[in-house]
Amino acid sequence: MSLSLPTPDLKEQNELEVETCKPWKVIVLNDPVNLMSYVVMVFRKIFGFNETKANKHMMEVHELGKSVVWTGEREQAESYVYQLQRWKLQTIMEEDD
Amino acid sequence: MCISFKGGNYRLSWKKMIEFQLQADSRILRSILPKIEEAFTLLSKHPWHVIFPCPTIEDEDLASAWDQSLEEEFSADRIALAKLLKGKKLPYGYVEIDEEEAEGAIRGLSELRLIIRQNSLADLSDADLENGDFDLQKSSGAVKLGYFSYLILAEIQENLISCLS
Repeated sequence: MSLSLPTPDLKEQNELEVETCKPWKVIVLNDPVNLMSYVVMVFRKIFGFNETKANKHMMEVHELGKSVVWTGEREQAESYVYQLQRWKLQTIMEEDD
Repeated sequence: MCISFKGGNYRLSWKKMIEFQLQADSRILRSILPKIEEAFTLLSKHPWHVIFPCPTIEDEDLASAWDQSLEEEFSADRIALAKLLKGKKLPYGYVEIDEEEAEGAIRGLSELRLIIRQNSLADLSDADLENGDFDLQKSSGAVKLGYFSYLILAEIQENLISCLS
């Protein structure tokens, strides 16, 4: 008797792997309430940014309405969104294109 | 200095306090403290999960745990902030807080400013509020009180950030 096992569809599997490995962007949105010094402090505390980098991202949020502050694995991105929300910064995450 | 008694023994420990004086006139401060207290009572009733949603809404368990956990964190921040706002010297322009509670109070101040923004200052645009570009004299008493509260809370937050850094 021959046992016929399903042949794995490698193409589909690869697509799935690519899908799960896709990086995620953590995006902080502008709000009129939080002070610039506050946003800089939060970025330094959460991401360990130096003053210059924290300022750069804060100015992006202020002038462009949003800033991508981190890109990477989904689970870590969720953790950063949580931490930023804990500090009352409006934050979303999106799949990187 | 803090003295705590435990099982007949006592232990001395130093609490590092942050103290500073506000630039705002203490008479203005005393007139807005009731407004700040009123806004504070609204914090726990506000649906914060709308502003701070779980990014993975398709996972209901995660979303529920997310909301609950954030609410617990916000509650802890409110306790720290309440201690600051109940400070005996605050009506006279002096802010005092245990250094260990300063971060929670800083986060709580953001929450309090958000609620004042949404309630008392809802008629002002973001740009007007950010630049102070509106005629305060023509505003209603409620807006004036809200605006001064908003500014003084910012001053407290700014000072706390400066003390911690």
